[in-house]
Amino acid sequence: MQEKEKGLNRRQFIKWSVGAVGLAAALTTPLLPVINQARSAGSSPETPAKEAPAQPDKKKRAWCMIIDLKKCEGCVTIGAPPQCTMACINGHFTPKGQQWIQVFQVELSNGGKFFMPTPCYQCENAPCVNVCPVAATYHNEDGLVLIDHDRCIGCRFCMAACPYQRRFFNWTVPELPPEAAFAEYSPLYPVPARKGTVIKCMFCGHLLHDGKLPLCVAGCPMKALYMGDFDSDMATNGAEVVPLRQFLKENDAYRYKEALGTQPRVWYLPGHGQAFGRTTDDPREFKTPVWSWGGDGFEPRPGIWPWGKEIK
Amino acid sequence: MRTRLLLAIVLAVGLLAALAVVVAGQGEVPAPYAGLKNPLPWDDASAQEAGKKVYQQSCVGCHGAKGDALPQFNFSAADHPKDMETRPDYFLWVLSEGRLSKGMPPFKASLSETQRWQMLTYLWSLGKPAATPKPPDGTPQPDVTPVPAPPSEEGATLWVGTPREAEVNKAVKLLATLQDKQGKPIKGVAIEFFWKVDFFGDRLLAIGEAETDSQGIATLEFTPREAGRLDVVARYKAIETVVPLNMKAPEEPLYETEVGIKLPAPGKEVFIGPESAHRLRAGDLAPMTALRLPGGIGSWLWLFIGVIMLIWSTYFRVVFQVFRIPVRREIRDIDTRFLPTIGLGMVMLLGTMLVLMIITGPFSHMHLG
Amino acid sequence: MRTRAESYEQRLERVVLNPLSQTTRGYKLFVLSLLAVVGWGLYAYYIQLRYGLGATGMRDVVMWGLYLVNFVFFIGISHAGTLISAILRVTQAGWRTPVTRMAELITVVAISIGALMPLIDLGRPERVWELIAFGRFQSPLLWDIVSITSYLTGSLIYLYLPTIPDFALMRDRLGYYANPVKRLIYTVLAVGWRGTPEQHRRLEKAIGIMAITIIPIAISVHTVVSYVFSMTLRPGWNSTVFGIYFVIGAIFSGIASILIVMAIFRKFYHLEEYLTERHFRNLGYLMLVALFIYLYLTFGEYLTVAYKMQVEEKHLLETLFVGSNALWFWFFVIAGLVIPALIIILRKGPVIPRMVIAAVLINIAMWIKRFAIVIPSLQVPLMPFDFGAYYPTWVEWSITAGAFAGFILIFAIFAKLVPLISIWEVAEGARETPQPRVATLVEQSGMKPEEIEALLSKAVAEKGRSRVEQ
Repeated sequence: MQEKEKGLNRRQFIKWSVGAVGLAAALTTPLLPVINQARSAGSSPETPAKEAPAQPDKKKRAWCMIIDLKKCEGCVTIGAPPQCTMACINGHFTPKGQQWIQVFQVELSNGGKFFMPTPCYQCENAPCVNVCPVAATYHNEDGLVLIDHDRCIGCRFCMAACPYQRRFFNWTVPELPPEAAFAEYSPLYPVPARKGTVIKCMFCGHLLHDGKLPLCVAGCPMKALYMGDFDSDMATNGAEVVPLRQFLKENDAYRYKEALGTQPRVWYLPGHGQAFGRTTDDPREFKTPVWSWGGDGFEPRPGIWPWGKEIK
Repeated sequence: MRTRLLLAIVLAVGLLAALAVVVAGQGEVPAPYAGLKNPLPWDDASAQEAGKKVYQQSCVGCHGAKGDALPQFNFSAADHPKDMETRPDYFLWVLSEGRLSKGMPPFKASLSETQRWQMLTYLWSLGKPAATPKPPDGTPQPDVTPVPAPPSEEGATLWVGTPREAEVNKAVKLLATLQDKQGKPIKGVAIEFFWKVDFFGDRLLAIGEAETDSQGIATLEFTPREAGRLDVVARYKAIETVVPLNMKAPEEPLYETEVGIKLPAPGKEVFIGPESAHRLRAGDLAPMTALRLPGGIGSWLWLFIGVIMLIWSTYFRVVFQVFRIPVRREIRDIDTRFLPTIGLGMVMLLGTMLVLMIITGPFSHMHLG
Repeated sequence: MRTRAESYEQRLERVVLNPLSQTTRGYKLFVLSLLAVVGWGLYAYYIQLRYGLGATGMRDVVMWGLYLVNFVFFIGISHAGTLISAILRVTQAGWRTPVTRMAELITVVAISIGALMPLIDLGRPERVWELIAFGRFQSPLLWDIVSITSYLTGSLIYLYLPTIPDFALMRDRLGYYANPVKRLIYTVLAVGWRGTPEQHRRLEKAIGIMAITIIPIAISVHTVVSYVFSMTLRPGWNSTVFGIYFVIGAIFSGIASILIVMAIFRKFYHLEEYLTERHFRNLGYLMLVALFIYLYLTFGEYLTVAYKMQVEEKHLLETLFVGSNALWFWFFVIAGLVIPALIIILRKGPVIPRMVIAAVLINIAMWIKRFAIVIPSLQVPLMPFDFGAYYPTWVEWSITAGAFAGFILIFAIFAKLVPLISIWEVAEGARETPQPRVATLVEQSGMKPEEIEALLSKAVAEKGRSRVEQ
């Protein structure tokens, strides 16, 4: 009844105040994460913030990869599936069917084939990063294109935007070996893979700052892959160190689909596997990678009719 | 509760037992290798040297320069030499046949058995602490620090001079002076220059070659791109001189990504939010949202904001027109005005939300600085 | 039943409001069957939520499928409405009044269904809120959200405003003996409308503002939808013409949908007097104009690409013209462009069935055209491998069927709540301008509208159209 004395209709008052609270709530929604974070940063005494993992090497890098096509033999010489892919699969427990670094057989005009390993190109002008609606994929300071699987909404716009088809989607809960469950997730080491999110090669970002080569580079028996850093202008394949820019220049390095302007950070040294004397009618067979833990990957899908094949 | 605990214990014991069987099974060496012993003495320096060469070609990529890259096979661990001494056959077996499932290739075909034993001898030595030789001090000169190499068998001495301090990404002049036993300059020979780098393991990076002039001085310019202490190595035949070079860290990163067109910015970026929103969250997690106006007060975003505000204020005005449709008293058995009020609220809410969505957002291109 | 004493306005009210007060058994059965289809679609969505998008036929190479096709299609249909009714209102085309309500209704329903589609397509639907919290305005998806939200709100307002007087009418006519819930709804929705000159002035002003505002928003919506595709480096999508191409395509399929809806309600709600051949013919000609522009743009789009034959574009054209997608592409060309154009131009047979056949063909063909835009571009290999495969599973088909059923269902329910013809505007039009010929003749002669239509078309044939229709 006091409201009446103030000249304010109670009903109106309630109506307007509810409206105002609702409005305020809606307005602050986009800022909530900021506020939350600011709060968690401020209240460190009672809840100690999670320590960032100590980085042995804090230097800002500009990672890149060089792939010497002269040396790459698709591992037909050792009669095994491409060892870069295998090292990646076993090291990341990639779901079956996902070859983050995939070795393609490219046809030559004279009928032969050469081998082209293709990791994620970590483009500097990455179309995937540009189109992501929630910044779930982003560049870190070293220029790696990462994906935060706690942020990804699974719209797959980045996959549509990627002109190299180097992104993969976890269509269902992936079948993984039990060890994968013990891995500590980080965008640099996205293991285990999560359902409904996009995933790809991260240049083994979790190894780089510890002074370890990416799994594929370390796993290549031909030493055809080099890990480089534009900032210190060096690259290594594990056996030798080369001055990066000079090396690229001397070997006429090129980038795949350079005309698209995506500015990939993966360079190819032209060649068709000459270093190992592969000829066009080489009978040695290219072996496709195998997943040691088996399973069907994402392949099983329901039949055309609900009473058809079963969903796994 | 108790049965559950019991079950857990039984399970755990069973698991451990299974694990033990598996581990034991791994260690069983098959026929051709079982029981083999190293024909070379473990501390044979020449065998170690030969093994080292092969190691640096084929093994460094995975196992690292010190052999400690793979935690299961840490060759530089203190107990490793002992392990090798007790079961050399096992190591020979793994080296020969490989472990393809784990990425270890077989070396049976590419290395002879002696070479393989040499390699194992080298691996044994990795676990022993090595004595590091210290470079002798040289006499300082005004702007260069020359360091002489110990005279070789022929008695020649190689002096290397470097600037006391140099800046990263600026050309540095290296001077190497070669003198024979009598202190006379040696003319017209090539001196190789290297740079000791720590890039995924310690390695020598070739900088270039230079020829000595009539005074026995070889000059080489190079542009180092690493900060801190660098070791430059000059080599003539077997004579090697190592000289340190102190590099000042650059203020800006040396590599700048060039993406997009640099338009003249109308102002400094307006940024409201925690400073951490400029960076990724710890562990390189996705960045947080902040209120940003790229280009500042004169931002191009105002164009979009203006259009959206125009549209939504028009909606507001139109719904307000409905609100103001006069209501006659006699039909007000129910206050129908709450409907346009809800409408106005919704329009305000949605419109403001859209505008906020435009001006807030995470910054996702950290490599652009 | 019809007496000479019944005035034009009385008859208008009776005819239009009649379906709102009665519910036939057929209608109930129809709604039930629609509900069953929607329920089945929901079950399919449950399966998809349970097992993830692996339940669909999409895979890493073809990572967008039917959902995106439906998205483009429904947003396209939504243009029917508001854009057309607003353009006709702004240009003061007098014949529009009986058409606008249906067109606006199509817009609101289609855009609601269409906006659901990308959400169904998400791999992580529970994280939708992140679009608001972490939305990056640099992403075309955010442009979609902004413009579709604006369009939906605008369309709702634009649908609601001209309905207020009709709500008031229903409040007064049906209110007191209909059930109390209905009465309450109508009373609230009529916001105290009494039809005073002051109220009329305000309402007309508001409608006028909205009609102008909604046109650029409608255009922006489909432009932005096309940007989702044309902002990528894909063959067939990487095109500057996509914005206007999608807008015209949307208007094209939008008019076709209006024609279909008009024909259906004309038959079942007995609106022959108000939805005359003239409306069908005029809309048919509008559709023909849209068809020719679309044909022109299609021609330009493929010719400019085919002349240069970049390698990826070559693969795309191969699969479209002679490859695995040729059936879809040529079906679109023949059934969506050639046959409808011939049907409309040749003028053989009665107008309404002709236009409806053309409209149905166009809508089917335009759905297939959207399929031929989205899928083949994704199938083209961007790396050295083979064409991607895409076979939609029953989950996707069920959700698609559910979406279409939902569209019809919402429309059917609305059609029971809202008069499908704007009574006050038609009545006003009849008062202000000379009454439509048919209506006058019905009043004068007491003949059935169909008979008069027949007589009129005979007269048209004899004297020429212009003189009969002034």
